[in-house]
Amino acid sequence: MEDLSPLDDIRFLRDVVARTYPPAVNNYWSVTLTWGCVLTFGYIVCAWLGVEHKVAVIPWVMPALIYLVALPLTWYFRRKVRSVIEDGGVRAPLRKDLMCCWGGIVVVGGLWTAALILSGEMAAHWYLVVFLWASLYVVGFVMNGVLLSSEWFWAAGVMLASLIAALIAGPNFYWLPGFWIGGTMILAGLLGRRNAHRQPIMV
Amino acid sequence: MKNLALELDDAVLSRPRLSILAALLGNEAVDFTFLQKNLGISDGNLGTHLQKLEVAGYIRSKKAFVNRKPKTWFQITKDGRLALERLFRQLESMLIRPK
Repeated sequence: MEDLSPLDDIRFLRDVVARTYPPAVNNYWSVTLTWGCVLTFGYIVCAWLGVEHKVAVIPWVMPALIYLVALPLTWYFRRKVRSVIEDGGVRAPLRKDLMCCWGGIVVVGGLWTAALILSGEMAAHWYLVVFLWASLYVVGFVMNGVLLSSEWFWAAGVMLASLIAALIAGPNFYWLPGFWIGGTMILAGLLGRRNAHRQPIMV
Repeated sequence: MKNLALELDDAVLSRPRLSILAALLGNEAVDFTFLQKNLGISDGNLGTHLQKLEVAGYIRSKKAFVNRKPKTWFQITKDGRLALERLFRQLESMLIRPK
């Protein structure tokens, strides 16, 4: 005869785990959306400055936007979302896996960018930086999709499509993947918002 | 022959305590109300089971304020994780043991 007791316990545990484990959604979609908007705005401003031949200002645009707008807003939204989650009685674990993944991407991207600048290749082939960072973001978005929530696969798909489209279309469209770094984050933020609202915070 | 059932850890081997540890496993910390709502255990019972786990060193508690409201947070310890792993290994070996 089948011993039902251990099976019942396993079923019960399965239900407990399903009820109490954090859902696979990005509750911090507002942070993603903020970075998407800031990066897109920064890219448009840089492009406009380039057209207006005000090249000296361009290197200051992104750092200024990141330090004065993106980081304070990130701090504010992180605090707000964390407070809402904690109000529901849960403290989400620190995602060291995601932190290591994005830390690695930033280090690799930073080293390659520094190498391009120091070797003097940047002046002649500016688009290499755009392709480098866009490719790294594809990897990061896929990892986000695997480790965090499914909407990041869409962002990775759009980023990859824009990389391929730019390669096929030629030098006149080499700006496209860089523009989509912010665009894909906006996409991931909006889809993340939808997913988070469909699966609200526990309790 | 060794009786595997006698080696099982009594501090973990109870449905409420097992479910508390399982709920704590996926989160950094959870509060009393969250456990009560999701595990369907009454106040008094939950308090007793939490105390037993805390005495065994499998969980730790910390009081803190969230939005000016007092909360008691519970967190699984390294020993708690090991106890849970050990129990699952023991149950597995009992279930697959040839008769």
